[in-house]
Amino acid sequence: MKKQFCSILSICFLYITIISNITLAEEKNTQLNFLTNKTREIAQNIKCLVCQNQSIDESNSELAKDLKKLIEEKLNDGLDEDEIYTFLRERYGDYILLKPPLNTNTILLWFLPFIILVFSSIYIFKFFKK
Amino acid sequence: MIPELGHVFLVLAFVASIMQIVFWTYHINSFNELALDILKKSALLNCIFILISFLILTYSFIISDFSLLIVSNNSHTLKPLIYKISGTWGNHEGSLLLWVLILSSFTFLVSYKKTHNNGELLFSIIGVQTLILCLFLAFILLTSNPFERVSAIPIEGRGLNPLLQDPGLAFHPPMLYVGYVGLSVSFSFAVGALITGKINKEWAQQIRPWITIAWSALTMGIALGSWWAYYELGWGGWWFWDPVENASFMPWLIATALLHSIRILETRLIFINWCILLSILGFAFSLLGTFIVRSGLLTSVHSFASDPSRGIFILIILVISVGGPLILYALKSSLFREQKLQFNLLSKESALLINNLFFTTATATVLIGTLYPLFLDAFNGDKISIGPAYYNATFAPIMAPIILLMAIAPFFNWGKGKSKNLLKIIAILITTSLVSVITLYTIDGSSIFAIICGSLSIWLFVGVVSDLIIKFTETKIKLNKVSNLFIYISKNKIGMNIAHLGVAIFLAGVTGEQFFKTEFSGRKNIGDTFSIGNRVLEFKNFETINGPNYQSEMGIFTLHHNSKFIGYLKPEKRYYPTEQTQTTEAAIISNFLGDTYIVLGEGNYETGWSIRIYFNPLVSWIWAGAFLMALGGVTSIIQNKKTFNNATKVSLNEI
Amino acid sequence: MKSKFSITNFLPVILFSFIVIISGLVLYKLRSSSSPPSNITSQLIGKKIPEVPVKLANLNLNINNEEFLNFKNYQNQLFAVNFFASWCAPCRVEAPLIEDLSKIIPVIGIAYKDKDIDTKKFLEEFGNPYKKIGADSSGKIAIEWGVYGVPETFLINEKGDIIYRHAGPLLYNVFKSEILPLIKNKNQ
Repeated sequence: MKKQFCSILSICFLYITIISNITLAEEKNTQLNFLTNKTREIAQNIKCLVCQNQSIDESNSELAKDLKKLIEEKLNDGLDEDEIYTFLRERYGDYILLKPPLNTNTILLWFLPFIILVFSSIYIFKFFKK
Repeated sequence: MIPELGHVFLVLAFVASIMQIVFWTYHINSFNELALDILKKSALLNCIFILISFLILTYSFIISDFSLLIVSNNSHTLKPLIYKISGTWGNHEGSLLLWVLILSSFTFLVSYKKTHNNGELLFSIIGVQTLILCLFLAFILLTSNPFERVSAIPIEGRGLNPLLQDPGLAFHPPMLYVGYVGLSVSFSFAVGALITGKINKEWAQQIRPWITIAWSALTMGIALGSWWAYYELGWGGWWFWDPVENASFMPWLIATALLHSIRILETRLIFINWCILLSILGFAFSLLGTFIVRSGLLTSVHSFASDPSRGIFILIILVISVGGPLILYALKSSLFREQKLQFNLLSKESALLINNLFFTTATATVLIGTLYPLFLDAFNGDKISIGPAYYNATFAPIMAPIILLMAIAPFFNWGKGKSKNLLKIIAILITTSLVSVITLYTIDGSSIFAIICGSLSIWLFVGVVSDLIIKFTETKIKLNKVSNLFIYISKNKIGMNIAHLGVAIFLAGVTGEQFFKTEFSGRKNIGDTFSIGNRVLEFKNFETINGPNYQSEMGIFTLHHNSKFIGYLKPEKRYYPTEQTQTTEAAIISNFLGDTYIVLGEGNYETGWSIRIYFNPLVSWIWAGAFLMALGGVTSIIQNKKTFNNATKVSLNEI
Repeated sequence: MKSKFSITNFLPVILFSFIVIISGLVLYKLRSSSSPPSNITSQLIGKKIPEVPVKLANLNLNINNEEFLNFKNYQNQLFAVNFFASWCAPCRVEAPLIEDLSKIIPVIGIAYKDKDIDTKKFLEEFGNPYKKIGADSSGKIAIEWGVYGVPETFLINEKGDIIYRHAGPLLYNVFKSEILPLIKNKNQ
């Protein structure tokens, strides 16, 4: 039994070491781009309107570049993330956001999965109560 | 002349299938062995007809017969031979022909498998399969005839989309279709059970290899598609929650739940409704996927040319083939008698129940995300987009508890039995998880999701390894000879362990790629050397090259890691003159610890070129994990073949 | 043990029917609509023209020494704004229709991400139907208008509200079925 325990533990620590080494050895986020991290975070949530299912962060199209520049400028002007999303929504609609906002249109979208999950959990609970 | 023959054989198959369906419904209540034999032989006949038709179409592509509309629209004489062949299914009509070919082949295989002892069930299975075949043949003949001719034969074809001229993508559809269509077998088994009104453990034992084959093929098909997107599309992404991707993922989720449910039904007569419902839903989602991709309902990276009138036809097929069985289920499923068994909260049965509920919730979530923009648009005209952010917030939290369960469920016992090693295992799991959480936190404390994802991977890995080791010590084998390893495998079923190990490795890959990748983008010219951490890249040269049907601009880079030369990276920008499209071919150096990935942008000798470089830690673990999952499936088929062929009842202890 | 949940057994059929009905409705809508489903409706419909100033293109057509486009000059009448570019192929295709449109109502052009020299060449080749031409070399003005590609055409009423937007080249059937009725309505 002790043998079992030790061999399991040693294999597990080997695995953890491998994964940690990989990530420790890599430098984290040496961003030599011209765009700041925050810009890219926001850009990843904006849909590229002239591409097939890409965000403007991934896309190299002209529109994507212009929108990224715009986001950068707005950030420098002091706007926060939500204000930038609002700015874009006012001109392009909710369609341009890859993370759907929470409003009357999308309330079902956001809550239905969790409602189903809750019902499932209640069912499990009731099942075992018997 | 020859293509007309191909068309004729399709019509023959269609007519034959109608006659078979009539025959089947006529004899449905008065089953006899002769009727079964006739139906079996006609299943073989269908298969032969469709095979001939398919081979004729392939031949037309190989010889570049541009008198056929789809050949002239999708092929070109300069295309390499392998892509001429794979071009057969690289279009809507041809891919449907491949679909029905696989369907008729499966029907044939099911009907001639030796170990069926329930003729009445088999009779209805073949009947249901043939009904589906008939519907699809009608669809092909009426709306999507691959053998349609052009009136003016062009000298040259329009070529194949360069993105599709790729080995990974050549194998992706056939593999995926084996998965989709394989699920029709379990579907037919379920409908057959509803029709005959009988279900027992043998039913589950017979259906199991078919589900496992379909599931393994589907896993590989999805993995191939994802891997292709990673190296071909040029921005290092591998999953976009694109409607077409979701269309393949939903059947996979259902098939996984079904696979586990069948294991339980094999040994005890419980969860019958789950098995039947999941079997119907698995194929239903395959059909729904077909509908989404081909109906024009959604446009995405690789949906076929959209056509709403085709969409209506597929919708009708869907209503008949899914609506019918679901009504049958609603009416007849309460007639099945289940064993009256009680079980603990921490039992295998309970784990299965929880597993099924979570998986169906997850599937429902993906379905909601895929269809919601459509439904909202139909409802009030408002358009929204749903990207990965939505699924990360909904799908991921639903799957996380499943990963936790996966590691400990193998240690549960059946029914009201006590679990032997459970407490020890939970102690080990908690210890290693604490260590991993602390380790990951010290590496990068900023992202809590990275810590969760990485820890889940380790939790699962520990669980799988523990199970394997305990089995070792219980079989009392010393691992000092290779032959002992074979003895171990012959005495222990490890398919599940391999598959679950695959999930753990997959999660590790996701953790590395999502949370620890680094990126550089900027402008570099020939002769530039730049270092990022321990890596040194040098832009050596730039060349223009001519390929068989393209012109390429290629940058040549060298990669050194810790002063050791690793290799050359040659990213390209290709121009295909016939198709008038440009593609970017990323250059990737891949190894166990991660990928170095370079994409070449525009530029010239004066200003240099714009390049993007990604370092993706552990990314190949994503597909290694998927491969292991499929391997686990195949292993379990092989390991169970002996038990099954000997018609040995699976004893309680062997699970 | 008989399965107790006979009502829940009907749940799958009910959900399935729901999905089928709505998909059928969507498909039906798709078949009967004229514009591609991927065109998004402009957010600016019913709103005033964006306030962002538009510089006039430097094409040596400037008579009055103006520097900016003044939309107020076109108050009290229906007019159109057309985003175009010399490098844009569909813009060439729609040029004759824009000319036809300009004979009915005034059309103002905005050159999107273009050089003045190239805009001038384009107008020389295809004719100049525009009363005035603005220049949006950075693309920022287009963003303010919610433009995501060229060409795009807007209709503005006499109160200065945007009442219509068409994305993509103006085609004859769109011209006839969508734009002309709007013009006729206003003139009644």
